[in-house]
This record gives sequence, C-alpha cells and structure tokens, in this order.
Amino acid sequence: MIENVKSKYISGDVLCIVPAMNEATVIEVTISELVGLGYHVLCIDDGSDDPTGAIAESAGAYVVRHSVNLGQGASLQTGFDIALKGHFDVKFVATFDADGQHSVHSLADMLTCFDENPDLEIVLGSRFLQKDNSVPFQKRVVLKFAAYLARFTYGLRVTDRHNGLRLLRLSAVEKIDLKVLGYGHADEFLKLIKRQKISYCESPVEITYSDYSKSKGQPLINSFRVVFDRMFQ
Amino acid sequence: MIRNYDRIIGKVTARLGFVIATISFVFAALDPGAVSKIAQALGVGRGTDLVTYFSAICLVGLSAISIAKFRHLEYRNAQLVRRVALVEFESKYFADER
Repeated sequence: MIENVKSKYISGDVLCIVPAMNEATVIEVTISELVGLGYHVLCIDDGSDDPTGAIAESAGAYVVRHSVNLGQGASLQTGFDIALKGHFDVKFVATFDADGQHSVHSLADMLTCFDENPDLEIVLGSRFLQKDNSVPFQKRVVLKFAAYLARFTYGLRVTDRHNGLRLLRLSAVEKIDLKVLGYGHADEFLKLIKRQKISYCESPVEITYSDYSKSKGQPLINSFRVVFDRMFQ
Repeated sequence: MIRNYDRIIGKVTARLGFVIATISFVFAALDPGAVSKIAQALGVGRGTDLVTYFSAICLVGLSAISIAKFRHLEYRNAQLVRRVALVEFESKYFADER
C-alpha cells in the first residue's frame, strides 16, 4: 500500500475497475502502473479474443471474464457487484479505462476530494477542468454541448458528461445499478446520481490522446447511437 | 409500452395491437368501399391513403416493440453472462471464503 501524500486515504482503499476488450497491447502498462502504486485492480475481460485477461492477471490484477462481449456498462456493473461482495477491503471504487487514456495522478487527486467533504459520494473526472487539455476541437465542441444539455435532461451541472474516470464511495456503488450495457452508461450514471440524490463533485483529470486510444475510442457519430439507445431504455 | 415491455400491460397492449391491425387489414381487403367511406369520414380522402397511414403507424409501432423486445432479451442475456462470470471469479480467487 502506498500512502497518498495529498489525502488521508491510501491507494489500498481503492478498487480500480478496468473494463477491457482486446486491449492486449496496452493493458499491461495500465495495470502495472495501478498495481505498482498499491491500488487493488479488478480487470473485466469483456469477451476478448486476444490474451487481454491473461496479461492483466500476470500484471497483478484480479480478472473476471465475460464469456461474450456485453459492453462497458455491463462490465462496470459486474465490477460493482464484485466490489459489494466484500472480498476486497476497500472504501472506494474507481472506474478506469484500459487504453491508457487516464492518469493515475488524476486518480490520486480525486481521492483528496473525499477529505474535504465527508458526505461526498462520487467524484466525476472532467477533462475540461484541466487547464492544458488536449481535447481535439470537434470532440470538445460535441462534449461541451452534451454537457450543457445535461442541465436540462438531468438537472445536473457537469462539465464533462462522458468521462470514464470516476471515484465512488462504496455507499454510492450500492445505489448504482447500470442497465445500459454499452457506452450509454455514462448518461445512466448521471441519471442515477440525480434520481438517487447522490452527492457528487467534479475533479480535473488529465486525458492522454494517443494514436492507440484515438483508434479505440468512440467516434463522434456514436453520440447519435447513445441518444437513440436512451429512447429505448 | 416500450419502457415497460416486461410488464404485463405492455405485453397485452402489443398483442392487442397486433390483433386489431390484422382484423383491420382483412376488413380493408374484403370491403374497400367501406374503407373509403371511413377515410372520407375521417377527412383523409381516399381509402388507399388511410391504409397507407395506418400501415406506416403499424410499421413504426412494430419496430419500436421489436427494439424493446430485443433490448429486454439483451439485458437478460447480460445478466446470465455476468452471473456465470461472478461464479467463475469467486471459485477462482475466493473459493475458500465460500
């Protein structure tokens, strides 16, 4: 366990849920970094065709495998269910992307938010609170507009509606039951925050847009799919 | 109906809609003159137009029900896969705790 110099909590208090599908080329770096800093890591191998699960396990993560691909929302819910089983002695659960976009330093910063507010239940990462963000122009416009719309659809003032880096207290995990299987789960998160009256705040996070993460990331046209899927929830 | 597909009222409404649509189409084929009279009474004009509009509504409704049914099955499949994954995970790492 490594003490977080900024927070009263330590990295061992956090279970990082890392959903992964066919991420064999990058998963080792992501998992090793988290494990090296003392975080508990649970990798959800979401029906990968490549040895993602085996590599994650050899890097020090616990691995749970979906026999078929279900989607990121389903993977996160599997992780939440395991977190609530009590096998891990943790106070917090983090959701962390496997493709190396997220920074472990951002996660440590998010942990400090809980020091200041004992009633806080979820810290949402926001790439737009980071001064030097490298968000591509098109993506920035769409994401900022989507965040603005969240004021009307959910009554929540957030600056980044689709950020995968989140830190949840276990009490918040109990209130989250994701039914959206795919990428629309980010919207469902906001809906549940509003409905379950979960206290939240945002924290700046650093996102690294590598060629790999760009190729694996969701094209903007997918935002239409998310909206369409929401209609049939 | 779409959001509540798994509820009994949603299932009954879907089946009722199917029966009404089938009877209507059979009626339209057997007595086109009556359809024209209904169309005029409704202000649509021609019976053919009424059948076209009704078909379009049926098509959209059928698509919506199919999507809802598919989503429902997808969710249940996901629950099954996740349950299997959980059992395998616990027997692999925490067998002695069970």
